[in-house]
Amino acid sequence: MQIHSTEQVVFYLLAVVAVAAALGVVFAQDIIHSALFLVVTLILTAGVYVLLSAEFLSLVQVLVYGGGVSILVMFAVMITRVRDARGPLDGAQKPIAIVAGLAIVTVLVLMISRTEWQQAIPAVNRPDESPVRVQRVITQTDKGQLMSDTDAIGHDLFTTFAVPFEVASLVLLVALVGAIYLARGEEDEVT
Amino acid sequence: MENLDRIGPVLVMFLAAGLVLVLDLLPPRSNKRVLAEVGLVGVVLSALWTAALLIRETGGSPTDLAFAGTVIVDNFTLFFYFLFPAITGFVILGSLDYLDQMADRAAEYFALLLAITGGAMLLAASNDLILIFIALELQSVSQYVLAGFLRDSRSSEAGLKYLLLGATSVAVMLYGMALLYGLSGSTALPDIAAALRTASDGQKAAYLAAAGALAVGFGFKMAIVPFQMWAPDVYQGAPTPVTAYLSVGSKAAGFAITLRMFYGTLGADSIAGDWANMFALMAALSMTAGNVLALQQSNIKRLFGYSSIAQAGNFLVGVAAIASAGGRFTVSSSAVLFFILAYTFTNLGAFFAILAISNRIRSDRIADYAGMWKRAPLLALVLAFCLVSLTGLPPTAGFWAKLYVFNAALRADMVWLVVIGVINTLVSAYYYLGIVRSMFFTDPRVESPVQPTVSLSLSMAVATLGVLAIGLLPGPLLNVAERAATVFAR
Amino acid sequence: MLGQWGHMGFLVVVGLSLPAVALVISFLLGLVKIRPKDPNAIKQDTYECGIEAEGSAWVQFHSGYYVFALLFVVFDIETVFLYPWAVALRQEKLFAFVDALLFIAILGVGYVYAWRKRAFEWR
Repeated sequence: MQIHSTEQVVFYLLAVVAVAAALGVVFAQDIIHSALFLVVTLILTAGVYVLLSAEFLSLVQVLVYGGGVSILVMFAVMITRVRDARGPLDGAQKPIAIVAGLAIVTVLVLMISRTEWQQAIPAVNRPDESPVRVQRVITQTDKGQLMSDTDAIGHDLFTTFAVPFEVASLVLLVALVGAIYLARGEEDEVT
Repeated sequence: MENLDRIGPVLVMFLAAGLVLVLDLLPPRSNKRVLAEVGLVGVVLSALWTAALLIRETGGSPTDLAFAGTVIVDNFTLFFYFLFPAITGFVILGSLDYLDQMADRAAEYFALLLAITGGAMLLAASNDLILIFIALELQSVSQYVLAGFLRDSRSSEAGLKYLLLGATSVAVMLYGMALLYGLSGSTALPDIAAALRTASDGQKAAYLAAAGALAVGFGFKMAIVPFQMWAPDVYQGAPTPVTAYLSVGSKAAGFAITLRMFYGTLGADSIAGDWANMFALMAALSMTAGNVLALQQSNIKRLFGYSSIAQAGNFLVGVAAIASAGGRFTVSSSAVLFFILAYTFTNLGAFFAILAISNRIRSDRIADYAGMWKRAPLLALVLAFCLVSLTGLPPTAGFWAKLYVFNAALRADMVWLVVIGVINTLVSAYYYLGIVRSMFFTDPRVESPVQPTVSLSLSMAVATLGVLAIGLLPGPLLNVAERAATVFAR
Repeated sequence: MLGQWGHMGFLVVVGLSLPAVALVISFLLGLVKIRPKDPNAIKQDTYECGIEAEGSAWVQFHSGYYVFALLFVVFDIETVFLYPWAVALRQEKLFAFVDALLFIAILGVGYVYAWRKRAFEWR
């Protein structure tokens, strides 16, 4: 492991703490501690996104996971009953799970390190027309400047990925309806 | 507008779902009949739109991309554009009776059902990883809610189990998609296929890992071993019409995307053989585990949970055969599509009979089906006929379906798989025909007759006639399946 | 690249070190007996004023909290989607505008649903 730049120093710092916190999620005895460790991991992941120049994703990570999902997890813990939530959560399958987990990690690490990955195509150099896509993602503004990633995502969302974008709102709608329906107890039926 | 036209049938479904929700919120609360009618109108309009697309398709280009290539509407898509609304139409008819028990929840129920249908249709039309994921999520989220719809302890357990296992498998699938993106630099399926064709040997392992990860997510949808854990509990706990939908709709959606993903995209010869073996193994496991575990069930919905795992194994035999067959792609993929159609009719017919019976006798225990012949001769006949079709005996749709699939496997030199399939057919005959025997040759404990409602009888009649018609004249439907499968021919 | 984020990183480091330094100084002063250590019941209270804390914090909270949190997450994600829209709007013109309106309208149905089903009321 050679370190060439500040970015790498920052990356390893983030990565080590994030992985440690992730282990904390699994091994913490108290479910509240697990939840707090999870928040740490999620926020640090946002830092990794920054290093990858994915600023928008990083913002989303902080806003949605760091804010919303963490609160959701904490509330979920709060509404569970005390006696169910305390103490170790391991089952009898723990040894098998450890072996399986380690096996998967080994395979993935080997696979990832041995594969030649597609080099990220710099946004400006991407070909405007691919034989397949009708409209290729354009990543230059009218004046030919390089776009910020938020620009590019905005552009993609409203050209190439217009359908998934709208379906995303449907997913949210369905989740909303479902959650309200399921949370509403029988006694609230009268409207 | 050309673009919108291509996904018109899907839009109609989503509009119907929205309309159902809005109608329920407007001050004069509509009754559930109106909501169901809105749903049915949506189904019919959607099918009509698809028919219009189909008519134009015959004269037009073989593949039609829309929305910057994220959506593809070819014969294969159109096949599922017909299938999913048809299933939903049946399920809505079957639900009317059931919903008497839950007066003011109908809006959520129908809205979610229509949203699932739209999602499934969109999944069949997906040509991009992002759209695949989001369409899959739309279905999954709605299905989790519907599984827990009754809010009693069993139904909640079903919903929760479905959610937890589903979220996990989707996460694994997403990892596979990330790998594909990393390997190809694109989320568009044709781009990925192109990248795979020029991939180096070093990348092969990563493509296979991605294929495996995708199989986890798709396998969960199809309920195949080893991703079947949820099926029996969810089938038992969910409202019976929802179980009927899950057993055919969710499975068909899973197979639609599996075919598109694996044949359309990852079908290059360099890795096709490897994942074909993976599917062959899963097929053997699914058939065997499903059938053996079904033998000891006493609850009929649970039994159908296991039986559907075994049936998914039968589909998979065809799926595995396609890749091994190399150049003879269409024979096997049309066999799979034919199987999906035949299974849809058969299972829906069986579930409607079960619905009609359980609505009256208020029990899902197989023991309570004893002597049903004397209490409800027609229902008993319908159920028996569908069970015969599920077993795969003539003169039913199920017979031809099994014949075609096993034939495809034989042509692909997968003799061992066919042998396992035939042994499993014998095992399944034991419990399928066991129900038939108990209905016809034992005495009922209660003599009171069981009468189905009009809507149920109607849908049951259509499904059963479908099974019979396909059984007597499989040709036309096989043509349809073959036309849809031409998409994958090379 | 890191340059523009360097300031942020600096801020994070300072922010984290402030409480850490305060605690360390307090500990060190305690070691050399400058800081008195004199615990008593009132000082150990969770809150110095207000209603006295009673019982355990491990009680089952009202499930209403959860619905609120969920509503928050849903509309949070909506906001996240609107952000790139706002950035890209000038370029994408009418199509993006209509697109986003549709997006908001679909979630608007969800909002009305939540409202009519009294999910915003505390019960």
